[in-house]
Amino acid sequence: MSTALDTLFHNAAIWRGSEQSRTDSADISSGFDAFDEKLGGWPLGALVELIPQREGIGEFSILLPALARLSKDERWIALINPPHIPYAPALSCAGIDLAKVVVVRAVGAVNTLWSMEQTLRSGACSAVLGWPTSITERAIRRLQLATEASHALGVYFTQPGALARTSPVPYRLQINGTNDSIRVEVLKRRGGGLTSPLHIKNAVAVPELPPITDRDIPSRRRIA
Amino acid sequence: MALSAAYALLPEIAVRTRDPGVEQRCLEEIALWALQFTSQVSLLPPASLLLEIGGSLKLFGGLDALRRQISESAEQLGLDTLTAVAPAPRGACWLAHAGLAVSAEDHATLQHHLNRLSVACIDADADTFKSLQRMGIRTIGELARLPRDALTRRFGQHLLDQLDRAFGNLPDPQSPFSPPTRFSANLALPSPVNEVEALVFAAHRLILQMTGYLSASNAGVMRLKLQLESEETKIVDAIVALSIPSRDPKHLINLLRERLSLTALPGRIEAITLEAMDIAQLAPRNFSFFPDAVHVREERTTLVEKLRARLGDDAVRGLSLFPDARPELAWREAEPGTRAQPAPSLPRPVWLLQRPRQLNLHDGQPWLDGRLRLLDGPERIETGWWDGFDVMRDYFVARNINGATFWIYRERMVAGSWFLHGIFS
Repeated sequence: MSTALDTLFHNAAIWRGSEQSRTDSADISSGFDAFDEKLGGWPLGALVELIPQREGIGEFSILLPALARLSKDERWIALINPPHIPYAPALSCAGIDLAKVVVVRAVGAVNTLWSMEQTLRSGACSAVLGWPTSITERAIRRLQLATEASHALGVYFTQPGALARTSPVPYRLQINGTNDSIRVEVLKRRGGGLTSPLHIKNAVAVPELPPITDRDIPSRRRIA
Repeated sequence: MALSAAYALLPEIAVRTRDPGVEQRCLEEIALWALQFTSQVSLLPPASLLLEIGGSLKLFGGLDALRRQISESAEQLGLDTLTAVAPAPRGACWLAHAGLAVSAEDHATLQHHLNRLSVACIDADADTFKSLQRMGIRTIGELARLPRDALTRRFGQHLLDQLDRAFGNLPDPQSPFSPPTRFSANLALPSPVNEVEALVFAAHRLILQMTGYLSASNAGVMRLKLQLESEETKIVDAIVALSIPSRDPKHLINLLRERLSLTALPGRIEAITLEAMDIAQLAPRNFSFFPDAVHVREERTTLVEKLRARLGDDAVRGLSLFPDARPELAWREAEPGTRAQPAPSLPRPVWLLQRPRQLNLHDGQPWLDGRLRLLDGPERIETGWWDGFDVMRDYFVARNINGATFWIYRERMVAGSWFLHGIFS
């Protein structure tokens, strides 16, 4: 005999903590074993909030292998209101097909969020990455609905101050930098409990050079 | 009725002078719109259009579907329409004028409907009507039953010909409406507006006319201009540029809405003019073996146009590489979708600063949120002497105590000057 509770559990919108692996969104491999093992890759069709503790700790790099894979698709990768110039040689080096990259410069949070929603809803993008200056709970819900409809990788970056607030976003990851790795802490995820922080080796991890003086002779020369 | 008599009956009556010129222009505008349903449209002034739809039935999914689409589209244009269908143009015209929204698909049905019509629909002088009345003939059916030679003798060949054409017994060629070579249509707004939504609503009518016109010539618009005229007769143009020609009213209206929301209105708008500035043939859609690829390409174009309409043309860019060793010149902005060769494998940051930022030094070593440890380098870049932008730099990858990694360089011309140029985010 089915009880009211059983009917409730048949609702797809409800998940039980015990069903850790069951998610309804398709995922794409992140390119990092530790990450894929714990999270099953980056979710497609579910919004992700990335909260880097500071700039330059690899917060964008952890997306590059997945973006490289997605750029094989006909669809575009949209970078909306990035904080600096997305450097084409670096993206190309990471294996991203530049013909699929489109950079949108939107002034103000309203335009940034509008552009993100439009790009997600258009069906023309396989990944939409946004850097809004601020975001409201309502905007997050709208973006989440747009991401669900898109089956794309939808990511937005927020300031560390966002940590204090609750957010309706299904995936929330905090990124920290350490000496030689990127520390990813899962604050929230769909379809499972939280895991211990995971470490991804920083791609730029090479032995330290001795302090340099002006008299040093360069080891590698590029003279045109 | 004399005007004075009308005033006596209803003092608050609003009197307008009839303007046949405006009526004709209006009819021509509607004819442009009607061209999307058939290439054969004829004007029947003052208020009728004749559409030859025999060739359009299959395309529009049958007679009922076509009539429904015509009336729905006419409604969007703000028109009250009544359509009648008949195998003879004059017959259809009489039925419509009599207010019979029927479709007579064969001659027998047409005859049945026409017989019930009043004789008032024929084109004749007052004397003719008077004698018909005296003869007790009220309907077309009664008229048609009279002996043909007697009819001719009494009322002339013209009346008999009219009847024969209406029943489809005599050929009735119509002179087709030929669209102008360029499209421009204006609309005086019933009351001045200063809201974008109201303007969009008004422009919708003109857009529908334009898309009808474009359908007729199998073309799409590349650039369209909406001219806004304010009460003080100040004029402002809103121009929408497309990357591929389109005649999709929904898409065009969306682009126009975004463009209008960016346009500073010169006050309350009284009149608008829509002009198709650049018209191009619409490439016939190729059926691809991989339908998704074509589909995605169209969606991408639509997206770029939508974003540009709101954010400006420069706001949506693609990235490309350029063979120059100077980091700030090694990349270029490009139209989205531009192909590029893969870049050589070198340590490069994902973010490049708009301009290099000078770093503070502690004991001669560069600092950024703490001491910077040099991880990789130097990579000497020394070039550009020929174009006045000399570069003599040693680049390093450096990391601070927090794990943040930067791309910094030492300016070799000036001792002890270090700059931040990129961030390995």
